[in-house]
Amino acid sequence: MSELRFEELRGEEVTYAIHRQDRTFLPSRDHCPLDPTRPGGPQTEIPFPAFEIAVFDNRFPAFETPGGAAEVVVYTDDHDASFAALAPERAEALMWVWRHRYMELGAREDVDYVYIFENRGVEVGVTLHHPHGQIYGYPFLPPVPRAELAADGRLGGCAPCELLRRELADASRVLFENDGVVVYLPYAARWAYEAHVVMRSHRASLLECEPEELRLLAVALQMLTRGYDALFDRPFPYVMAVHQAPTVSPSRPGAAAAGQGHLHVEFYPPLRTAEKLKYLAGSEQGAGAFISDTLPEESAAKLREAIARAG
Amino acid sequence: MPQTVHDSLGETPDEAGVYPRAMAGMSAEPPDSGERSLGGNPADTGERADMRESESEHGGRGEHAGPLAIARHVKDDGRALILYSDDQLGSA
Repeated sequence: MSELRFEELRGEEVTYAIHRQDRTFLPSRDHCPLDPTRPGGPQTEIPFPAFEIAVFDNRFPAFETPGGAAEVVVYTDDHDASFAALAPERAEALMWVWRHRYMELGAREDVDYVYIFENRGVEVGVTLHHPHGQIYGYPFLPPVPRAELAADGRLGGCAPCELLRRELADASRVLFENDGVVVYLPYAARWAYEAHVVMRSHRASLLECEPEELRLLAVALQMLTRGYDALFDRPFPYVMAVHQAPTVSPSRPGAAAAGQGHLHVEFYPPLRTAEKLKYLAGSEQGAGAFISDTLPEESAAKLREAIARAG
Repeated sequence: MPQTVHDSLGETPDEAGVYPRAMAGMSAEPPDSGERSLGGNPADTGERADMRESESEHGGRGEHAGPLAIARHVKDDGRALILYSDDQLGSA
């Protein structure tokens, strides 16, 4: 069981999950725990010879009941695939899986925030190459969604709605859009190729989305990630973060935050060139102030071209 | 339960928001680890109309999430495993 400690100076929770120190780390291809269990082959996390999408409790959980949840979402049984390379129907199916996990985990008393994410690439600390994401059910409201809700107060309403309006009006950083989703580099992007995938209509969570919106979200996420891979003609590392409304139960502290939010997906790619990484160093870690080497408008132009190349 | 950021801000349960009203009454527990394959549908106790509609579209057979069929299992060590398969979306 993990232990939470509150760091008073920053006002943030720190989670101690010391059992994760021994988790599986970059196993050989023949011993991938996320592969299906093939006849005569090693037992894996999924004891079936084939599957479409699998979700299971993390063997090395940062959070577990009654103090939250940690799940692994395996996108496909194809070890060499990626989110960008999934068939469109599979990517759309994944949206329904995310939605279902949000509903089930969010219903739990011990889950205040359902966070769906993917770490892609060793540059962001991935330990298994098989295409997969994770879901944390935090037993508290983490700092980033808390900060996003605070922005609502500063902007006098839903912050993502207002920022979307501004980005569409400016247009210089918009990468592409469809009837349900707009994708842009934000005005104050911290990462060189940070992108936000924002629902055009106000939707607090995946639960509020129409089926067509889920499909359009999947289409947009795949267009962006294919563009990323085309940008430097290499698998593009990123952190993909799905931000939705907190799910704090009425009986819990902080319940006022429940239901507040605007579904959007943020990408934090660490590459600033094909070979150079952006590190979180002195200013970012010690002062909490990002220093960027690139302008979002210029990055947006390059990424638009890459997306067009990727088709 | 350790102190949380909510505690530090002095927020109280009285500030209850609307969510998760749609989840009210749903099971908050993980699947029973005593079974190898689990039935049960969150739609049976939840309020999401689309989930109920989805089930009826499939003739009420088994658990579904939208167009996806759900099969629940329990691994040898007691951890939950859920397999989602596509009934309607095509060749996913």
